Amino acid sequence: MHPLSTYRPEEHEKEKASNAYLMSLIMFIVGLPLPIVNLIATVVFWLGYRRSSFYVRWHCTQALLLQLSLFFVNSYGFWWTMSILFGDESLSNAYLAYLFTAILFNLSELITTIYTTVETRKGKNIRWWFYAALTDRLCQPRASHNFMTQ
Amino acid sequence: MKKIVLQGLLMVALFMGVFWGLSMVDWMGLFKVEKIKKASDEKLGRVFWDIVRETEREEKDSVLVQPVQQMLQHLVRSNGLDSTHFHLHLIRQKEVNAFALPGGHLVVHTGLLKNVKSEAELAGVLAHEMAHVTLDHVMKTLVKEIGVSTLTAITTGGGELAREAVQYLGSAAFSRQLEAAADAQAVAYVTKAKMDPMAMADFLLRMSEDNADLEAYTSWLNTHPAGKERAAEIKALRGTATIQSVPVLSTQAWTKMKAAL
Repeated sequence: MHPLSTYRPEEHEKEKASNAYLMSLIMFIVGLPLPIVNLIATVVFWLGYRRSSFYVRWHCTQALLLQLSLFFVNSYGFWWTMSILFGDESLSNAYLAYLFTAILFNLSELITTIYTTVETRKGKNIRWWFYAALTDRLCQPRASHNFMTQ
Repeated sequence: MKKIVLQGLLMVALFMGVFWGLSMVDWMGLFKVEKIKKASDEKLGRVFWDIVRETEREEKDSVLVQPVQQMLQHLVRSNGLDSTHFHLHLIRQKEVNAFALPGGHLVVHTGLLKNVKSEAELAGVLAHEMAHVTLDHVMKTLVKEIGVSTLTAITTGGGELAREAVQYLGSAAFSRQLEAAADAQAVAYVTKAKMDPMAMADFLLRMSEDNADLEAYTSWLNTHPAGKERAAEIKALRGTATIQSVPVLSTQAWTKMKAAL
C-alpha cells in the first residue's frame, strides 16, 4: 500500500498540493503558444516546495512529470508550425493529424488536471496511471524524519 | 521499474496510435485547404497586379506579348502544368527584371526581353519565375517577411501595405535557398521542354558581368545568390549531357519582337 493512501493531509498541505496542479493549469492557458511556459512555472513551483511535506512534494512532482511529457509533444508541434510559417515545410495531412493528436492529449491533460486540482484540494490522493508510479520512484519520504511532517 | 517502462512505452504507443489513426483522415480535403489557399492566392494576386498596372505601363502589343506567351505555354505544356495557373504580363520598363506575384502572375519587363539573346535564355528566366510559383515561394516569403495578418489586411484594402509588398517582390525578395531551389526546378522545366538550360547560366553570367561593380558589392550583402554563383550551380545541374534543342518560336516572330523593343 502506498504511504499516502491512508494519510490525512493538513489544510495547508491540501492547498499547496492543489496549487501545484492549478499553477500548471493557469500557465497552460497563459502560455498556450509557447509550450515551455507551463513547464517553467511547474518547475518553479516544484523548486519552491521541494522542502515541503512528502504529500506536497509528491503532488508537485506528479504535476511536473505530466507537464514534462506534454512539453515534448507541444514543442514538436510548435517547431513544426514555425517551420511551416517561416521555413520550407508545407501544410500537410501529417501536420494536421499531429496537431489534432496534440490537442487531444492536451485536452485530456486539461480535464485530468482540473479534476485533480479539485480532488487534491479535498484531500484525496489522486494517482495518475504511469505518472504516479514514476513519481513514487522519484519522490520518496525522507528516512531521517517522519515523512508526513517534513 | 519494469512496470513503469512498460507503462511508458504504452503511453508512447497510445500517442503514436492516435497520431497514425488521425493521419488516415484526409484533413486537407476535409478543410478544403488547397481550395482556400488558391482562392486567397488569387485574391492577393489580383490586388498586387492592380497596383503594378496602376503604376507601370502594361505592354499589349501582340508582337511583343505573343512570343513570350508562346514560350510560357510551351514550358507549361511540356511539364504537364496547369496553364490556367499562370498569367503573363508584359511591362514597358527598361530595367532588366521579371518577377512572380501571388496567384501565378508573372511580370516581365521589356528591358529583359531586350537583353535576352536567344529563346532559350527567355525560357530560362520564365522557367525560374514559374518555379517560384509552383514551389509556393511567393506566398511563403510574403508570410515570412510581412506576416499573415498584414496579408489579410492587404486583401481587405491595405493599399500602402500592398504597394510595399509589390515593391518587395519586384526587388531581391527571395532567400538564397529559395533562389537556388527555383534555379534547380527551372533547369528541370527547361530540359523537359527540350531546351538547353546552359543558356540560363549564360544569361545570368552576362548580366553579372554587365553589372560587375554592383555584383561585387551585393554578392555578400544580398541574400540572393550572386549571378556567377548561380550560373555555376546551373551548369553543375545541367551536367554534360547533349541536349537536342527544339526551336519553339519562329525566326520571324523572334526578329519582330526584338525589332519592336
